[in-house]
Amino acid sequence: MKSYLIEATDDTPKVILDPEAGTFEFIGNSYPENSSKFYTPVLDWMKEFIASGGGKAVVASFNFDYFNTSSAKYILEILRLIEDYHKAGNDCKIKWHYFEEDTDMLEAGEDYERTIGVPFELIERDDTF
Amino acid sequence: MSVEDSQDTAYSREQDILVQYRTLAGQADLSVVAAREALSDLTRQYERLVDDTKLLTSVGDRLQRKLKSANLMMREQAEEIKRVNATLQEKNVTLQLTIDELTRAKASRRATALVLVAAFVLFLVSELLEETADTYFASVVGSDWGNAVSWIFKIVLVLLFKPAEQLLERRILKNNQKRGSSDEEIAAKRQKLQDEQKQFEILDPVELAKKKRAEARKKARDEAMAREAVKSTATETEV
Repeated sequence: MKSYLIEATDDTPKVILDPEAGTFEFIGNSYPENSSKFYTPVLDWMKEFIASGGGKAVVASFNFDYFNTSSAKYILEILRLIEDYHKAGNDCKIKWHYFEEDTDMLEAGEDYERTIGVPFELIERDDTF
Repeated sequence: MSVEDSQDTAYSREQDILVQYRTLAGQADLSVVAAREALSDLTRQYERLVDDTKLLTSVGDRLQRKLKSANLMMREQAEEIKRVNATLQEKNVTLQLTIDELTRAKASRRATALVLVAAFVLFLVSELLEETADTYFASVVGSDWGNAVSWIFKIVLVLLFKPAEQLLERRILKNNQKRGSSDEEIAAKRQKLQDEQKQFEILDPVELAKKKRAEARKKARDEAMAREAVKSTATETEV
């Protein structure tokens, strides 16, 4: 299975999905004009990964500066897929990054943590992204 | 893909569930066991939907708050920039006035220097020609008045110093303006500068959004009118 890479734009995040390493990364802003167009291929790729790559440990990192409500729904869909994968007996971890002063992003992470039954790590960001 | 389509795709899983159970509910021969099983599953799905809705509402509210505070911050910054801009413009005017005064003072100094040089030259000339002039005036108006005419001439010269200085000052200022820029040119430059400043003026975010919406509405209206015009032309051609 091939890696999936999309470079960031002003309103879409950088996405790196690496099947070999089992890492999913989302970095930047997410308020695309058409969220479906942006996230459907990502979800399709992940569904394919889950269907084909059973047994591999997964670490998903979310480093958002800002995301809109429809992106929030797609993030939830991504997390639900990881949750299903985790429920199937695979090792999964979610890393939710936030800036110290960005309490909204921290609280959003906490909301997702409460809803999704996957080990969740809330990490304070430095400026390396 | 429209925004509505995009929303539909975002909720495609929920819509699939809805279609599935609507079909099931329409089956007349559904057994009690199957119905109970379906209801149990539907309850589970509904629970998940409620969780999702709670989460999305909470996240959405937070994002809205974040956006609002960002808007507020931008508005405050825009106000601050406006204030700084106004102060700068005031200082600019003061600076211009000071420059004008400085130019006038310079011209005045130059005029005084020139008049003093001229006075000195005239004094030397009068000293050299004094005897000749006295003799000449004595022969013309009589020996008693010869000296007096010479003195009157000197007094007139002294009285002419100030007007001569003013005249010279005006002349120098005029020349400076010709060399530099005329008043009209300065005013035009000032206007151009103000126009440029207006271009870079940061608008209030709310005003900016309003302006953008109005522009989008105008564009949509123009496009609709253009389409209508093309359609009516096509109809006329067919007729």
